[in-house]
Amino acid sequence: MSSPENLARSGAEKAALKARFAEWPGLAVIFAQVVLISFVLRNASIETLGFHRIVYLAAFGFVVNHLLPAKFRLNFFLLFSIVSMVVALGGSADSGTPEPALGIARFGVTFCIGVLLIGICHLPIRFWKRGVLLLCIGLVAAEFRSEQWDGRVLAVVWPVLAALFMFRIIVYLYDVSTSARCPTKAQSLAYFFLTPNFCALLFPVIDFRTFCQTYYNEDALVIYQRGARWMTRGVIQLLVYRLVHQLFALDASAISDGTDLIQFVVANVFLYLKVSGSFHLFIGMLLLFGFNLPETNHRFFLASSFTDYWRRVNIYWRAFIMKVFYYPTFFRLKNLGQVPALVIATLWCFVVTWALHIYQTWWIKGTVSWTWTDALFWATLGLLVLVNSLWELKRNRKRKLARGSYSPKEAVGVTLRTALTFSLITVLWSLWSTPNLKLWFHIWSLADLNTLAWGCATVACVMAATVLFEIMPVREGGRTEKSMSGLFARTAGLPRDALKCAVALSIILMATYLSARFRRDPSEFHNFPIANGLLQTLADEEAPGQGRGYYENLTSVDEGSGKFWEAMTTLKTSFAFNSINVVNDANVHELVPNAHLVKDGILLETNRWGMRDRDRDLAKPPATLRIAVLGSSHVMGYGLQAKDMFVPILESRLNSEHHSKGAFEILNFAVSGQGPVGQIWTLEHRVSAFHPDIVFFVAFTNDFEWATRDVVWDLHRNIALPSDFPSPLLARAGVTHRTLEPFAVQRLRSHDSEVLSYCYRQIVRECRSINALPVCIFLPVPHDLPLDRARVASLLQIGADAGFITIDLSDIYAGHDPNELMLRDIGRHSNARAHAIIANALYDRLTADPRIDLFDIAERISANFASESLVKKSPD
Amino acid sequence: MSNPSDIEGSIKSFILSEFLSGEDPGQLTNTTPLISNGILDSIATLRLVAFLEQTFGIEMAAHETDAEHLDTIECIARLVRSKNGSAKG
Repeated sequence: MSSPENLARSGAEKAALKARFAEWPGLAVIFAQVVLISFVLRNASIETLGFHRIVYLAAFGFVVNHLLPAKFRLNFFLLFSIVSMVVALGGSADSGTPEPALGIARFGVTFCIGVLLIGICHLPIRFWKRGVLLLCIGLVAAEFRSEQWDGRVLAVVWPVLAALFMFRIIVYLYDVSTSARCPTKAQSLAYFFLTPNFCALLFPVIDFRTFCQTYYNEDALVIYQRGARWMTRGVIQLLVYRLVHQLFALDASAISDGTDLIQFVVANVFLYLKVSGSFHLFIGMLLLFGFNLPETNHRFFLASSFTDYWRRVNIYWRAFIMKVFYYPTFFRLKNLGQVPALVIATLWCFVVTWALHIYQTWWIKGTVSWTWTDALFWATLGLLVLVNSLWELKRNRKRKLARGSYSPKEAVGVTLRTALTFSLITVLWSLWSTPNLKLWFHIWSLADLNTLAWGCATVACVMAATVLFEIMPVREGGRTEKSMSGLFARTAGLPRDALKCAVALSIILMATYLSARFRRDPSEFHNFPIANGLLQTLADEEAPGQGRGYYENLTSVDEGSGKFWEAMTTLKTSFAFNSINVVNDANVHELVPNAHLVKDGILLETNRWGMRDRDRDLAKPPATLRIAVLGSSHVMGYGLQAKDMFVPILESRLNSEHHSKGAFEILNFAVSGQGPVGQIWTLEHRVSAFHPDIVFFVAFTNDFEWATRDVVWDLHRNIALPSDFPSPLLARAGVTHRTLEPFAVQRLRSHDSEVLSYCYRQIVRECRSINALPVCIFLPVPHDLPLDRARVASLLQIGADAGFITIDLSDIYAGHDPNELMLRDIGRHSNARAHAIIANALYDRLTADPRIDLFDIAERISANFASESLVKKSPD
Repeated sequence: MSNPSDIEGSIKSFILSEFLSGEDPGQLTNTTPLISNGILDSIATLRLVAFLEQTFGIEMAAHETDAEHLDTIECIARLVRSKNGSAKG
């Protein structure tokens, strides 16, 4: 029987169902934007593979979440976060795919410790006692984080646990201690085990109260659309960051004049876009699940005072510091008077901020990094904000109810103040990005008229942006969203906001697609710098070199966070092999002598000469044919055990099968990252002293690029090129030491054969000067297959013209699957199987090639030795 | 102490005179967001707290300086009433 109540309920349910169906077009539009975002992330390699997987899941997850009844949504989000966490943490560089058991184990440990920490916050004991207990657990976790009890599987857990809890547990403890309301279990767990935090070590400090209070506090579709917009903005900011990083960022030590200085100063401040972009992506994703969180960064370049800058940049951090440290300190001290309390509270906040940045570095990197420039940066910013605060307290800053209603006088004032703030912030930021004060003073001593001119031009751009975005009436904001909501509700037409995002994402997708084509196509666009910049991979971004500030260092891949990155990318990190590779004063790669390092079961040893080789005497042993090998990482045996490298295999085979013809020594001078220019130096300064009979120069197709790269690096670091270097070609290419690196490389590209030819001729000349036979061996890299035959032929022709005996090993991998010949590491280097093939092929060619006549040389050396011995025995 | 029934009015007058001089009073309603709109920044919050404590004879705690308690005139008035009520009770 249907009662009137049942009928009414049924009618309400039907109306709700109808309203739900009316939302479908809007939901579909947002879904399409999230799918577009996921394509862009994948195509442009933005963030990690682990994060991509979460975005794929989120594209469907947010739709399911929306379709669920409201009371189940938070639990669903928690479940979604847990599943995402298992998927992300299951990443393994050993297998290359996520391993569910691994993910569950890592999640299980993280979850148990997390629940323990949350539980402590709710213990019915005094606030300080709970704080001490948390500190004790933190200290134990810190011991694990410092790898005192390192376990390969659980090594990922500590940085992830730190990322989830290092700041939020402080906020949570404060909130549950000061609030009469007890949060639900779902709220607490969802707050900590928050997707996508476990994919990112650097994450905005979300406020717990805001997290709970803003949950679905507005029209759902409006929140989702804002999330999609912020994710799109994040993608754009990350791509702009890449272009700035690729085209303009400089290392402080590479600054040689006033133009470099202004380039360094301005580019550095823009590198913060990496943090802002990532935060927009992460928070945007949370908005897709109904958490209507505030913006993380708001036009920080357009701040009109230091207090305004502090309010706009990393807004969540400011809110955290104000809530937990500033207001409690001020309230405790307010009896001293408003001004003294404000002074102490402000300075205290900056001391805490500085200390917490060190604390954050320690948890993320596993090491403490502290510099005077760091301390000075926070001290100066703190003092500037304090002076600004006191001024505002005294002069009472005028606030506005509606943006954009500036009188001409006010507009001029705001624009000038913004210009001044931007100028001072960029100077201050340059301090933070310079390793020491001496260097900072040195680079500023280089300031000249160019610095002033380019600085004024930059400030003029900032002033124009202020007028455009801050002064002129703002037509967007609340009104847009309200009208958009109406459009969604009526499912009529496409909302303007969604259309703008979709268009922007489509353009980016097209740009990344075209960039990928340019990169693959060995045409004139091959080194188009913007294409390269857009497709810069995670490994490229983390490459040491230009423009590394606090956040760059924090998010870089190194030993302290390597296991985390391996889980997120399922790729082996390379720091073990890179850690003994240094660049010397001549800008040449060298290996640290007498290194002994075991990483992931691979022993990495160098001899006293800095060679990845067994110990060798400087003097050639009697009756021995000595061969020196020059090459890069593939020859150095990157990622391989020494016994699996082709050089010792070949040496061993020659000695065991042809010992009657004399002894054979093959000395491995290869160094990871070494290009042809560096190899000239190695030959002159390292190899010549060993008096080899033959020099094997192992060539790769990237010799073209690496030769020009080395020349550009030398130019940028003011390292004099050899006197016989064909300098006119630099003038013809329009390259000077001031030409931006990617543009210099691009301009030299059409001259790369000339540069390579010069390098090869130098190597041959040096070989002849030490009476060594120059042999150029072309070695294919499995990753480059199929080979560009024309390029190989050109390279070998340049080698032959230079005077090398050339050996072409292009076809040695015929019939093999390239994937089975590669290590699964970032650089995709040749594995043991590939090296065995190389050793066999090289043995066959060397022993059969009449141009080299290896055994003839060996026998001649033996005979000479025998006759010399006879002469020595019978001097009369 | 001000008339408890005119708490909203007192707060509105204070905000208009101290932070929004020259602005249209009609645009400031009891539900206008103050913190999220940037009217109440940290300095303004401290001055508002001093005003509330002095005018209404209440004692505020540090954790009450958030958007939950101070984001609108309505919220602020509710906070003042709850404190006055608990003080009387």
